[in-house]
Amino acid sequence: MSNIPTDLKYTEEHEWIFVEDSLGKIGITDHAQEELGDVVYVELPEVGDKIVKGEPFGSVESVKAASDLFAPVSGTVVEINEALIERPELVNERPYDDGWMIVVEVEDESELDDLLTPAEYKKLVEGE
Amino acid sequence: MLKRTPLYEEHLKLGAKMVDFAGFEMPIQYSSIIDEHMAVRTKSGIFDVSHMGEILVKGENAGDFLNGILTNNIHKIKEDQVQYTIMTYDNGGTVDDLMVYKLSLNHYLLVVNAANKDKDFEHIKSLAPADVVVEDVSDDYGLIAIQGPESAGFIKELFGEIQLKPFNFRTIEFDSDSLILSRTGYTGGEGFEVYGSLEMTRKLFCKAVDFGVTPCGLGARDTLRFEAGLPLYGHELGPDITPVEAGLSRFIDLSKPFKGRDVLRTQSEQRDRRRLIGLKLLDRGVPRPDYPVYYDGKQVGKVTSGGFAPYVKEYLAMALVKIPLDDANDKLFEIEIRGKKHRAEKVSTNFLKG
Repeated sequence: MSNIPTDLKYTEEHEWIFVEDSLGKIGITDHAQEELGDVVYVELPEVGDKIVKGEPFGSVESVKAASDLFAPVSGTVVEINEALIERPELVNERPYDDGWMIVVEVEDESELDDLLTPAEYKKLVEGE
Repeated sequence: MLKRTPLYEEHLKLGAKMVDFAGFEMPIQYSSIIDEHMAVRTKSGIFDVSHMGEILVKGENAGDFLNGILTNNIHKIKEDQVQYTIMTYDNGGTVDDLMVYKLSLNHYLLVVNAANKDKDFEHIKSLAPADVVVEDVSDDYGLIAIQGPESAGFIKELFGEIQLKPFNFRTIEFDSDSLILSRTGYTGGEGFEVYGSLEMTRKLFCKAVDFGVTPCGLGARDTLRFEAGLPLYGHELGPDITPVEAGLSRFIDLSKPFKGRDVLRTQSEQRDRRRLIGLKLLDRGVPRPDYPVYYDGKQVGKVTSGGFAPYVKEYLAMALVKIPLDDANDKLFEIEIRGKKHRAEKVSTNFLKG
């Protein structure tokens, strides 16, 4: 059974976001990394880029397939996880921790209301 | 209804992720494709390849008949030897690539790709003279591949000390059943393949896993063969790709007649034709089949296989391109990956050995 931390919000495309002081840290879920298999490359935006809720902001590639990363909220990228360039496998090993992808300055925190709660995300995963 | 190999239950017990492959329910991975890949490069791994097709060809003229439909010269191998060869159409395109086992003077076992087995059988049968018997025996054989630098340890544990050169095989009596032990594989390294009854295959697979050989799925089978630059039908070979274009001329004997020879001879003398090259990405990115390849700014072909090679730790591709041969090919290659051009350098397709 995949791990679904209770302090995060989720997208239907299997990203998570953790928001504190208007900064949102974003990554992909344990379920997503499990489905993808070994991650071999992560393409991320650059610091200063704008991302738009619901639109791709990068991609994650496993041995088997490439998947777009979808923005849970709109905002400006303030930090990217440089460690993933050399060690993309961190996404598999610690998806909620060292495997995070970007931090954005959230434009409109009300956008978080549309995201899935842990309970709703759990239901989505179990229904797949 | 999908077919199952004799190892289906074992795969489930080992927690494999199963996929539909060529009509069979096969394990794609047990733990992680990269871990399985590394086990084969550094220790040993075992693959269920029972889905492969086996076709028997026998009769006094079996050898001459096969020599007329296969590119390699079958008369170069002796009994108990194996040969890699390609079956071609009149237009030089590829029917399949396969291994031929010379069981005895007039008795050959052809091991073919699972997805092509029915097509191959029809093709061979339709061309065979009346005195050559062609028989599909795929359902009688299980097949496992034990590969990696430590694979000989398990073989020795099972059968004792056995001297076997690469591309040689031996029929062995084991547990009052007979099997074929062959020093062959599809990983670019040391290894063995064992053909046996369904029950024998199950027994040997379980013994190997108990011995500590890592079970490996089709995912690692593909990354391993790719890293070693070995062709895969449907990618580097196909009805519209000849073995000359795929760089397999050393498996083609133009001195004997066979289907498609004239086309292959003409091609092999051509400077200006498609050819398979290796590319190493200079900008990080994952090249995948059908991605466009550029040379000096112009599109010259596309990727046939690509990805991250776990052992050599590079992003690599094999690509079928039309570029002038006697050029040093020192201009810039690029691969378009998801809309963005990535710089690449031409390298040998044998990424493992360089």
